[in-house]
Amino acid sequence: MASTSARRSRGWLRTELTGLLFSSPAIIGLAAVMAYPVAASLYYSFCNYSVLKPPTWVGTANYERLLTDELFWTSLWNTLYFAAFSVPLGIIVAFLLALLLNVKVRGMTVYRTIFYIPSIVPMVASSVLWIWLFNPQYGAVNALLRHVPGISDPPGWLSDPAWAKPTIILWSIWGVGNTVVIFLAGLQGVPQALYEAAEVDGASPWQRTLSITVPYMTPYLFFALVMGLIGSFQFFTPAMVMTNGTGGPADSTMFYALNLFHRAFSDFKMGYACAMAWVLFILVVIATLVVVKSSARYVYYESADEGAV
Amino acid sequence: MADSVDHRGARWQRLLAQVLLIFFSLIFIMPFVWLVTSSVKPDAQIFRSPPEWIPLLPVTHVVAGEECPVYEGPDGSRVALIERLPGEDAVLAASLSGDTSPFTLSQDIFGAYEPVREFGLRWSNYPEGLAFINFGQQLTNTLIICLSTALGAIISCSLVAYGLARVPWRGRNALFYVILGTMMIPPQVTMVPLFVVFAKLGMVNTYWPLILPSFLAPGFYVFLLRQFFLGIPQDLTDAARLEGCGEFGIYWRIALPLSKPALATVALFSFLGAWNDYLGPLIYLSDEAKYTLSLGIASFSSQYGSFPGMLMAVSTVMTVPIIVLFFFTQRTFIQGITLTGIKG
Amino acid sequence: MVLDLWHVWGGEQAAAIDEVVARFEACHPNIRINPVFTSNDLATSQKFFTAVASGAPPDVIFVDGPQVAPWAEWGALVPLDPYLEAAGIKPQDYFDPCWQQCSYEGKTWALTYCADPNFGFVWSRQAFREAGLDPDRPPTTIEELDEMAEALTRRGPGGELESIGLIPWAQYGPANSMFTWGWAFGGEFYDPETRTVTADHPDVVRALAWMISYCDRFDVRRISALEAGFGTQEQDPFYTGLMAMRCLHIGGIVDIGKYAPDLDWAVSFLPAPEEGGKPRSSWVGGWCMSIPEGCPHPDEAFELIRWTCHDPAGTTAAGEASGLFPGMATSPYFDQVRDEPHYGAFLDIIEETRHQRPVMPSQAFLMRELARAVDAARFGKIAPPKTVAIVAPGSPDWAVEVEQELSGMGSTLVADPAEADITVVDATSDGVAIPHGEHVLAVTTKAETPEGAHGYALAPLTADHLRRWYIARVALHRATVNTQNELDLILKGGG
Repeated sequence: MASTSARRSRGWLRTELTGLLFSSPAIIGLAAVMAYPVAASLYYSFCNYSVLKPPTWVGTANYERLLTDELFWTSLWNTLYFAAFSVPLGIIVAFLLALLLNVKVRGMTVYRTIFYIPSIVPMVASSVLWIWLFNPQYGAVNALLRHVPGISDPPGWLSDPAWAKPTIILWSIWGVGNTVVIFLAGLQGVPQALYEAAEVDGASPWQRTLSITVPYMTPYLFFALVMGLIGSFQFFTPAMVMTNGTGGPADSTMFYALNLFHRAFSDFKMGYACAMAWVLFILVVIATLVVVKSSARYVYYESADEGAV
Repeated sequence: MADSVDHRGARWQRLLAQVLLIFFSLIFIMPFVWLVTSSVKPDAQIFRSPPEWIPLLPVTHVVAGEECPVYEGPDGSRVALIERLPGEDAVLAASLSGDTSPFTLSQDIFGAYEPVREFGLRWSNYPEGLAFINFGQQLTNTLIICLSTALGAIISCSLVAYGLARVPWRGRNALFYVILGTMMIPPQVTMVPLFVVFAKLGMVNTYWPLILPSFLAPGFYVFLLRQFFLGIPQDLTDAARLEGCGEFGIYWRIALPLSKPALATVALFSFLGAWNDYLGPLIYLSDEAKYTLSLGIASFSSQYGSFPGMLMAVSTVMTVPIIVLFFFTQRTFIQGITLTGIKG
Repeated sequence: MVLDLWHVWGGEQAAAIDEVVARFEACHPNIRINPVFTSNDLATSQKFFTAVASGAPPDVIFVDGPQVAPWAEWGALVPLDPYLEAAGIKPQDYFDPCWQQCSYEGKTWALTYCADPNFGFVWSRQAFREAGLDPDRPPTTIEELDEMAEALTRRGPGGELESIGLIPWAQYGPANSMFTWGWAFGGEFYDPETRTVTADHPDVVRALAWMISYCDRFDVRRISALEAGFGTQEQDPFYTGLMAMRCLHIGGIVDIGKYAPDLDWAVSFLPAPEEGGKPRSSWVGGWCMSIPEGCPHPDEAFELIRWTCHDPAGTTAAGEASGLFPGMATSPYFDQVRDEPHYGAFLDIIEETRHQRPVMPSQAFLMRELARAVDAARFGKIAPPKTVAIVAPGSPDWAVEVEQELSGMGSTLVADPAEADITVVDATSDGVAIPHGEHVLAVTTKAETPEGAHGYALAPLTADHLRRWYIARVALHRATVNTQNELDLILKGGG
């Protein structure tokens, strides 16, 4: 009895050590490239800090100022707006494309490649491309729209405060290639037998999609949702390139990360910027937790405990 | 009877899918087509209104050994513009047919003449663009970083993911949540302190700050691989364990070979991430000989000069090889992703 | 010995830097220069500051003029005073604003590499001829400018703009436009003595109200659509005939020669309003060279700066290579260009320049706030005044007129000025107390405004004028308050 428990405890130790050993790159990584910078930035968020001079403690002043900073609220609103449209729309488009790509038709590899191209084009180039294509004056999009009956006065896109965000959302949807690939991978795994059974039962393709594909795909949809949320809260480079960093016109593309970047690197208010970053982090965590908690109800895992996130 | 209806249904379904796919493909590829065609256009044509898809080049005509641009008048007559006469509102031109001796045209008349253009590809954007940013050097630099990053991600993430998925140690869930949590930290939070760390280590203006983090198990790839490893049937590993295989042996001889598609996916995503990374190289590299292609591309558009033709030419060169690579290997990637716990 | 020089120019101007560096090396055999391009955006300062913070800065850094003060305040730069004294470099060697923009807290932190006379007012003689205007007579007043702008604007069949006479806010970004017109209208943005931001100066407000009048005249959405078609540099709207008049940066001379050799154009001073404007107004922009904190080779670094920004040969080299003016007023380079018509005109402008953008640490913030103010005003993001009071004892005719105008504006007339967004008073009436709160303004019917009041002569006094003026005032007041808060915070406790 005693020897079994000793063996078990030795086995336990062994397992612990093995696990730690395998995980050591992540643990070292967390300690080396994460722990210090994260702690430092948390400390700075309670300081006045302009990088070159030592930080001075100001308590919660930075967080208090955020509340009255009108641009903070504007940028937060813009980011929520962006997330609220780009994430669901991106998932819907990607899912639709993945469903289409899962039908056995000729030229599939070509189609898949085409949908993946936007993810390959360098971001700087694709942002510049977007500026041209959506140029109200000489852009190809408006040139096309002018041929559509009923459109004599196509939108001003990035130059119009009402259209600038939708234009950037379109850009993000154009770049759903990665999500399509992930969904495709999921679709390949839907057991074919289920479809055949449903077909025998006389279910229409639409019914089959709803009753088999969607439930089976929920982990993938959920994954895309979480990743999309995190990404959209941190959305930065294209906004920077497309508006030349101004966040204009009329603050309409002043996204949270862009605002933060200005505060940090135009104004060198690092303390303030760090406070903004932490607020962002907390918002992302809350949003993710809400999604994760609510997911328990609708995300379907084949193996109940192991696959759950 | 039911069978044939069903088949007809399937055929309709395929046809519909085909049509929709063509429609969406056109939308998705249009920007890229614009990119590629722009890469062989003169800069002035890129900004013409209305936009022109077909590359056109100005027509020239040789007068007395000099190439002169050709203009067309409202009556359709063509002249070669030899020079603008300084101080006078007039130009010196030569007719293309009949009497070809030079004559002067007043600015008032010449103002109605339009430059003549015809189909032609401005290939010179390519050699000029590639030379402008020292492409060979930057490609080498970029590949060093991208390949090291991909390698680092594969090694470190597969180890960690295995530890999280297959070793039932106690801290695994906690570690997994921490790793997921780090994905949520905005990079702006850690940028400056991280730079200071690398500076203290003397690694600024080296590739280490760009490569090293990938050897320390980035969360996203750990997540992908963990889900994949979870799907490896327990029987396989149990069998190996009975034969006396240690955990590392199982990892090396069973988990890794079975996970080639997932590893390829991680390699692709991390390669592309490094390929596209702009901020990292910008902050850490100051020696121009170490610059990467994403920095090179950015230098085509600055406040004091933009070279859209060259930008698009180099972007094409950067994009096409990856497209080809993806085209031939896509099946692997699609097999490489699993989130459901059991591989389908 | 190799010096790292971080500069901001890709493309053509990078070649100019290389040329200047080559000439420097030719006469300094012991010093090699390694020019590094760090693209000209926010990232420049990010990269630079992280480099300084980690003790690995370059030897010489290019700083945008208005960034000198903030960078000095944050401790990123080394004061040059001992070197300047040793080299015998004096303020009077430079155009005054060039020296001013490099001076902060009693020290000099940089020398001006290029002094941009902002701006030359240029017009297309061709477009003038086509519009039936005298191609040799540019507008000298804002009133003339408005008339000509109308004559020079062409509309398409659908009402869309094919070309426009002028877009007041599209002169190298809304903030630079605001500076340009604000000074031309007689305004001031900052008082260095009291460290007070004055961007809501009545004449700056007047300038912005005038700028956004173009939104009403030409439809802001149509202008934006036209504006989005403006390319950079080679595709400048002035070169491509989309804009017949423009405030032009001096670099435009070289660019027009290269990208629009056919363009028949001329350059003169900026127009200014007849009443209370400052004719021949301009300001100095451009880049400066400085030594970062922690510079490995400060002596050699200063020699590079001195040679490039103060040496007769160096400034000539820089001028010849870049096509830009040196900041050194006594540079022999100017003899080369004095007789050239376009450069000569720019030289006239810079010799009269009195302004530089405010020298203070929250400069970048001010620029962004000004841009936001202009954007908010022109895109109608500020609600028109809701309540208006008219203080006019005895109900004179003008008051009745104003009342009629206002009824068309959707604002409510109130009796008490303290409750009103706008108060209209007769400036000639004595003893009228003008409430001066955040949204309470005084509008006078005369050109002269009562001292201290944020007044404006509205002639003719129309609802449109009143609305635009109110919007401009609210937008600029917000920018002023925000910037002042920011500045006070920095001055109180650093970052």
